Amino acid sequence: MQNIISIANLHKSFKNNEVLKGINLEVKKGEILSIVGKSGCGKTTLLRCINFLEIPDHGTINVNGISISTDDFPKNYQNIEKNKVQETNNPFKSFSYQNEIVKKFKNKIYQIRGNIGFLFQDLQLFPHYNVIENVYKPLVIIKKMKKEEAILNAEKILLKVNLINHRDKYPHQLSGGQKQRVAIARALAMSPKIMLYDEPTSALDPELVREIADMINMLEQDKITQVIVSHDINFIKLIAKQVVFIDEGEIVEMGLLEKLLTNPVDERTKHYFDIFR
Amino acid sequence: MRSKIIFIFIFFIAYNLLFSQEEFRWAADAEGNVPYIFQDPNNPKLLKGFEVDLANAIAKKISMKPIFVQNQWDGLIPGLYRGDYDIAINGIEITADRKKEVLFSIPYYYTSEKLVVRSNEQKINGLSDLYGKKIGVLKNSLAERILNTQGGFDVLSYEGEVNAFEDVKNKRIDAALVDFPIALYYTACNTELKQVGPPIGEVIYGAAIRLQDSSLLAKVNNALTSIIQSGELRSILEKWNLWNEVIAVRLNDEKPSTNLHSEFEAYLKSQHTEHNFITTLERDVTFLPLFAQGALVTLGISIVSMVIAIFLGLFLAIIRIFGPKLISLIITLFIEIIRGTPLLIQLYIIFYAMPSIGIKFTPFVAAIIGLGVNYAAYEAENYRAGLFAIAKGQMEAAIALGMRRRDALIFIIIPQAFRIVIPPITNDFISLLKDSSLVSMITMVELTKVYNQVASTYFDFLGTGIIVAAIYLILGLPFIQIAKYSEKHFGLERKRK
Repeated sequence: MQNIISIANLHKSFKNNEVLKGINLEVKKGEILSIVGKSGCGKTTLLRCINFLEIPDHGTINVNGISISTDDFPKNYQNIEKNKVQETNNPFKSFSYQNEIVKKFKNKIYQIRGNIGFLFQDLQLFPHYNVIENVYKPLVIIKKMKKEEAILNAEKILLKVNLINHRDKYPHQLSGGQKQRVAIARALAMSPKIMLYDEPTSALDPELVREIADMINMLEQDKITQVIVSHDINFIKLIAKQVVFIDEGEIVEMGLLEKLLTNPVDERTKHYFDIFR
Repeated sequence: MRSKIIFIFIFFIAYNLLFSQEEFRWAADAEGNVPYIFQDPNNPKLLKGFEVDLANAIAKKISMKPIFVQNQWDGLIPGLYRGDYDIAINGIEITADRKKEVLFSIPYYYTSEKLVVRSNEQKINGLSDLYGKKIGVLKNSLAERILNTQGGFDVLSYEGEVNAFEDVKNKRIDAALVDFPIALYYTACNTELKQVGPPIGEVIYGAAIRLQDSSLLAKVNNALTSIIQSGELRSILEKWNLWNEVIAVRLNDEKPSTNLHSEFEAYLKSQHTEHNFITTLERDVTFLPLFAQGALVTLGISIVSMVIAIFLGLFLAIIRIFGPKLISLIITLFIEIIRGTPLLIQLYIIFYAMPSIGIKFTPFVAAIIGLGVNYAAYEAENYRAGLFAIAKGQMEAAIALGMRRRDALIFIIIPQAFRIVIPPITNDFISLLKDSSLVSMITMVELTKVYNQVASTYFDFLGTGIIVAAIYLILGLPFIQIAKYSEKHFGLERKRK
């Protein structure tokens, strides 16, 4: 099977703290891959780099045939990056620089994002939209779909995630599990080839963990590639075959979950998984 | 730039065509100026006073239509040069200093300064008893200059004589030195105050006209001469009990004074008839239409200013956050200057200083620009806070879906920011409603100005004060309700985590 995501020699620092120290990772089409590790190990940053919510300092990322390398970065990128640091307290400015090369670079990023659905740890539903609007409005705004068509699409997806009865409710009127399904529905509406999940179970009651696991397994049938960052091994047991273990910004070991649990090669992996056995 | 000049030019022509045609635009301060100009106690909508009679007489003589323009007293000369009116007739003393600023008509009244003290005061019988003591005067008046020249007194200047009288009564100051007519009227109807000592100095009133307006001056002087010679001025002054020996000598008219002081007596009667609670209340109720008018002006100014503030504020906030660095910096500086300087100074600059560079606004426009821009600076900061409060996570969620930043801003961030800032905006509106009282300083006759006029005419700061305070409360009430509702309503949607 061919790789849908390839990451080569990825580096990322925040100020003087190097969070990712040369990550190389391949994800196969339709695969479910879990990234595990202690908090602060860089697993969330890695996930955010894949759809360029974080801009890497160095490396190459290829998503579904679209490749962005730091060598493509605009010449003045270093300066821009400096400005960006100064403006980090302004969440709007990180990307507001303009010129032709930057535009091309930005367009590539938008292309990549178009292939990826991202589930945030805190979901970030749009509170001023109700359930159906959360799902259909982005279709109208991004894909310039007609409103009726977008609503039709949204209804199909809400049916799939069993939320059609709640279509007119606002996010604050929903339970935690329902909100999560709205967030997934919102991402799925964009028909992504890849879904990225950042700690999807962290805010959920235990009985809802199975629900999200079922959802992920259902999406596997639709041939959607899924990458899940989590430290909830019981949850990962329900979904993943392939697991990557990251520690201090480096991939320590990867392989089938069984193997990492029972027969780890590296001492650090053994130590991490010890507590789950 | 060019279109602006053309616009101003057209505006000027239109303004002149519309307004200067045969109109005798004269100005005075109707606040606390019995017997010069004040509201008729029997019909508060009417203005009375010997200067009203005089202005009407002059206008009649030169066949023009008298139009009264309200302006606070110490701004009467700047107002002339703003072109709000062509002549100021309001007890303006002819002095050498003022002659450099304006043309004066021939005098229409001669009198002197008088000391006013508490009735039970025994020790003060003249200026010499007041060394080192506190004396109240009208700001920029002859009395102020006399005291300062002589030295040795603690001189306090007031916006209106009535305020000085109140302070004499309240024992904050020991005496007030005021023009004789005012001393006469206020001591006559206030048992707590009396005049003491001999007349001090000589006060000569003339009408003030712009230096370049010599043709108007000639017309007014002709009219005045004829009014004096026909005895019309004398009959006006006698009606108001203002004829005195000095003026008799000066105008060479030494017939004995009559005792037909009809207006003086009418005024005293109006002041003496009501002294119990019920009649005061009844009288105060008759002011309500006047207050309602003022309240409408206040509300109008506040609403228009707030609309300006809301949209200009949003514009400023967006430019500040998204604009190029330099422009963003300029906007930041602008916001900080506006927020860091008093609104009153901003109003003065807009109203009095801008005309000198060719930008002239009517009082209403100046008021809404002053208030609107001032509050826009505050609203801009509200929006900025609102935008930042929701920004990061929601922006990421939108761009992760593939949205462009601009779309995310328009569809996701701004609508939410707007909801967040509705409660602080409504609160700001309530304080704007109260701050709008400041525009009375640039000649807008709004609620606070009406209050000042009425209260100082009737010497009733308490009763009318309570009424006016109540009106402000009532005006603000609907907005307090909106603030409460929006806090509850929009607060709910935000509870999602």
